[in-house]
Amino acid sequence: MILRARPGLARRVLATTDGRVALVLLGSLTFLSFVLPLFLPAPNASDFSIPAGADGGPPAASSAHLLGADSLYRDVLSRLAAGGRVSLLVACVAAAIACVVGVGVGVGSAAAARAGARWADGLAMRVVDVLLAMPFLLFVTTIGVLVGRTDATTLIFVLGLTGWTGLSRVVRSRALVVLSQDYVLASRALGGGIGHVAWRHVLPNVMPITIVLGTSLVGSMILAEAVLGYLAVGIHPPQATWGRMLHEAETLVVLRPLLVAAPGACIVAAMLGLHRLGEALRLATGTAPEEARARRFPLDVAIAAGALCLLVGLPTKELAPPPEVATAETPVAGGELRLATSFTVRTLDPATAPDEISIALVRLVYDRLLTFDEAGQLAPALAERFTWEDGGKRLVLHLRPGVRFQDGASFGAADVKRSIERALHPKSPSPGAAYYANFEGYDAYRSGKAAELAGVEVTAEHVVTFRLREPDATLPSLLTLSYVSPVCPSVPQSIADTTEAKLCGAGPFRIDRFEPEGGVRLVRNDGYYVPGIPHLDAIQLDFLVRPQAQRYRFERGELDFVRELSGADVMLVRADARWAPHSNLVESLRANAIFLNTEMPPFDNPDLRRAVSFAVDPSVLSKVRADTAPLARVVPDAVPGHRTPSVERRHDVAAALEAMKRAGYPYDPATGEGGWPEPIDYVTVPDTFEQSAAEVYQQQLARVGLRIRLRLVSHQTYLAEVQARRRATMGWAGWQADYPDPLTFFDPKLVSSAIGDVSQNNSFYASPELDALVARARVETDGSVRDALFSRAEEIVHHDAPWIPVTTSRVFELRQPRLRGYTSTPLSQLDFSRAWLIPKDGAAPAARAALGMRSFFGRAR
Amino acid sequence: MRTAWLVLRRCLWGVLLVVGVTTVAWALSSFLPGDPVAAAMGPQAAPADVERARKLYGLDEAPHVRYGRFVSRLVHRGRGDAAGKGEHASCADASGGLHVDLGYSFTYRRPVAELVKKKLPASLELAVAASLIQVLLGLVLGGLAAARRGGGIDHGVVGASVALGAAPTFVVGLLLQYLFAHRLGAFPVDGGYAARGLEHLRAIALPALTLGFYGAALLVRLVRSELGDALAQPYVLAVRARGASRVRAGVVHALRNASAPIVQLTVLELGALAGGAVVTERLFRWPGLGEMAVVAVQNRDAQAIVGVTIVASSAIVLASVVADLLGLALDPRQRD
Repeated sequence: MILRARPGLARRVLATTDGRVALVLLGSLTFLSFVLPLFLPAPNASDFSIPAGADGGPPAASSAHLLGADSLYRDVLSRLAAGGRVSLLVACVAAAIACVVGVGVGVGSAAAARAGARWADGLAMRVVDVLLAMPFLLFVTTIGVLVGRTDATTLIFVLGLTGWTGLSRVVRSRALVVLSQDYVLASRALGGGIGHVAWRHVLPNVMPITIVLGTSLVGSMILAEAVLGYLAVGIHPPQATWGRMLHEAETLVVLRPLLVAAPGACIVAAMLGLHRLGEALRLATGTAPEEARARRFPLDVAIAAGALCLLVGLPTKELAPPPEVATAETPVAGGELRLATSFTVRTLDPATAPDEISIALVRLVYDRLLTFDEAGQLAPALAERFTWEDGGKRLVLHLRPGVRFQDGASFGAADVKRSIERALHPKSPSPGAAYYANFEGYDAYRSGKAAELAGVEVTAEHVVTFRLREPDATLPSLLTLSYVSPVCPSVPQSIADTTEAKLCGAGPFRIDRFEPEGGVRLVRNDGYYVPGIPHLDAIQLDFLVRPQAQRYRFERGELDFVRELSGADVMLVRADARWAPHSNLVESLRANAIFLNTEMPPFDNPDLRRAVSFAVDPSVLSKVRADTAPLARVVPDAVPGHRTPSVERRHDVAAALEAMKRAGYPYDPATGEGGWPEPIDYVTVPDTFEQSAAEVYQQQLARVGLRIRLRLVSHQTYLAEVQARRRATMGWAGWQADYPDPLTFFDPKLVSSAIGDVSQNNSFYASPELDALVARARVETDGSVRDALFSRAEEIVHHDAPWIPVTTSRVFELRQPRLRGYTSTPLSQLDFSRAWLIPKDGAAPAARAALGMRSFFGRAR
Repeated sequence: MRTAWLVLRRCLWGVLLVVGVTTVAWALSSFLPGDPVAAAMGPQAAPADVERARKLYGLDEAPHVRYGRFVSRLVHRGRGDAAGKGEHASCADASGGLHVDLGYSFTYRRPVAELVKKKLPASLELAVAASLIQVLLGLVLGGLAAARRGGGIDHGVVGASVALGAAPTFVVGLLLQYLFAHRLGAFPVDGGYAARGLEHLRAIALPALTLGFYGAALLVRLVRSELGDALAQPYVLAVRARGASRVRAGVVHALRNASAPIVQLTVLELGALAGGAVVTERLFRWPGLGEMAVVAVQNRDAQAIVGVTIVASSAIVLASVVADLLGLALDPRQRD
């Protein structure tokens, strides 16, 4: 409309240098986004047949893939083009919406003010105030959640409906000026209504400023989309956008700077182009001062291009070699071990510690009653031995004499009873209490009706007797869990009143300082009952350190040990033979699977479940993260026990297609016709390895006619959805063995007793035979009989396919050469009780501080 | 007198605005789907234990009941009881025996008031440092560009500011961290908030630069156009004719007249930053409110969300009141 009304505008814009630069920049981006894709491979297709780069990273640029491939082996140029289509489209449409709303509100409230309805004007401007003060992140998350899925349309509306506020203020003040002009008064005097005046006189006058601000708005929308993509609340993958690509390439900035530079260059080019267009429009519409007409060399473009060339051209810094250390074979006492994690630890109370890192720390502070040795056999700790009585309904535990707590109190049977009663107290929010529901008197005590827990008896000073309602062979394993680790008598019995300063146990280290947002410092417990242990003086663990920063700090010698390196860094270190003696991959007791809801279509049909089982091929994922390994059975290999490997999930596309045919949904891969007619939602958590894995499974399942849509939700929503009945069709399910026994996988993940209002059996799978096997295994103490029971259980799950095992995670640990005496097994990770550090030559503690690593709490003391 | 009335009205509206925004934030965070308690308890907790924790954290009550209690306890008399004990477990002491109670954050397992008290200084410090960089760059570069309008310096400055403004904060931050901390080793990688003296300055340098660059990109262009317009005014010519040097005419006379919008923009930016810089704080592990906002939103911790929102929106409102007042003080023309 504007262009028709002012026919010379386009030509006037192009007459300026700004206009021509804008044309070149925006034109080439349009070409990239809309024309080039015709000649490129599909943007979301992984090609794992390309060999990885020499440094272990994703494939570098080649003639087939001009810009290389990303971490999932997808062509970067294709993704750049696909991302451009979305980013440009979203930004332009959202800016258009913002302009319409902004002009409408601005002109409307100005007209209202002049027409005597000041309240309407005031109201509109107050709404603007509120929107400007709203936390943007919360707002966008909310809208995304309400809509259920962030796609391009959602994003357009979110950005469009939040982006108009600034514009409306400018338009309003301009409109107020216009409305007080003489010709407007004349028009009104001639009988023109306020609507007529707004349409005929105000609107044309605010158009130039709207066009100019609108172009810059498109730029801000591109930026906003990038930031949302970075915060993982933007458009759902696998759809590429420039912002998402930047985010995904973040950990690859060292290895493949091009992956960061390419989308970054597109964003900067679009912003520069739009800025130039805005300038040109200001000149063309006469809203810019005359002097700006001077010729302008595109210096901004040159600066941006120079910065990009520098980034890409800068030779990548090689991994530093391991520092030389003096050889030493006998443990040396002293030294402070420095660690970091990207997570945060909320509590060090053993009764409530919920996750892997906090449990690992808790184990260093509180010794447990029993533990596991490296072979996965029960081993003594604070308890020396135990005996079964009464046909497995009574367990007598003999405690180690002469042990003292960190506060000096001596340890005995009464402390065991007190600590267990503390963890199971009616007011205890312990996540592990239900494990002990088999104790006699559990219900009465937990509900507050009984003053003490009848099932735990102090028999003698160092003898405790546990009485069970039903025989349970897993009780000794349950006593290895930290929830019931003995705590000092000085620790308050109420968990709510326990501050970190009051916590203490009988472990090798005691808590020195604890800050949930900063880190934790543990110091040596000199009174530990094992002589000479621990060797270390202190352990400092910093929280919330991003994996990338962990690598930087490790290379600077500021960390002694890292275990959360990014996938790219793991590849890089593994490709370097010099670091091989100082790193290792530790198996874990973790299983990742795809759960299929057996109560809902399509997966109430066992053949469709089998099709999924045959179609997925997790083996390619080791190219994405070297520390994952494919898993073919429910129970990972790291769990001790001998199992006959007769039944295993295998990848077989022909068998999958056969299963699809049997199910009544034949699929023809050649034509792409047939298969399950509807898209199926796959629920997982964003920004995790599980999300990347899901993007790969999505491609693999599409090949047999199962079209998957990723549904990425926050961890809370994920838990609520997968535990609710008839809600989530399929998705990721993970389980970490609480103690090394196959039973912890089948119960609760696959037994029917775990189905309820809130179900831990995410497949809602009920098999009477499996339930019976699990019940027998619970009371069975003979190892070989148990193995036979679990082999049969594996067969049942394999045949019915409610739970498709896909990967087991391994932990890649990297140590500084001076860290000695640390071995980790799947059962004892982060156990530094026997670790020691080779002193740095002549480096006094003061000199060590000068290396830059200061305690996070330097100010506190 | 009119000014006083104006200030009073702005402040009253500001309070209303904070209350409104806080209520909306509470409503949004309470009515979102998902189970925050289950997530806080860890994925492997049994349903019965999750239910019990929900009761213990007081999250089994209806959102409006919880909101009512929150409002009624927001500021109350301590009656001689110490904050942080029993009934007053989630309180912080304000002066005169008053308690401030922002509730208890179940993700941090701390009273929200205590968290805010700890994190606000970090965010404020970063905001001030970023503003200093922004003002310094803005005045020097913008001033140079204004003085040589249309010349090579002008084009260079404008070009650089556009390019810088076009780069998202996280890209600038990542690159600064990569170049100066990793490649050159000149600055700490992250954290270091609690370090003292020189080490603390080195720790704040990269996050402050990340934020400062972005703000400076805007300010440079504002200074350039405002100062440039002022320099073209006849009174500057008159001052020069009376023998004042170029610098004196520019700094004392032109800048004085162009200062109102520049100061106002700086104060507004400061207010927005004081509420926490989400991306930058996360990147450099700066323990401020931005980091807390992300954690709170991710965990649907309504109490913590409201705590951050109160502070962040108050800072924005306060900054806009101060900006208005400064505008009145610096530019008499705004007084009518």
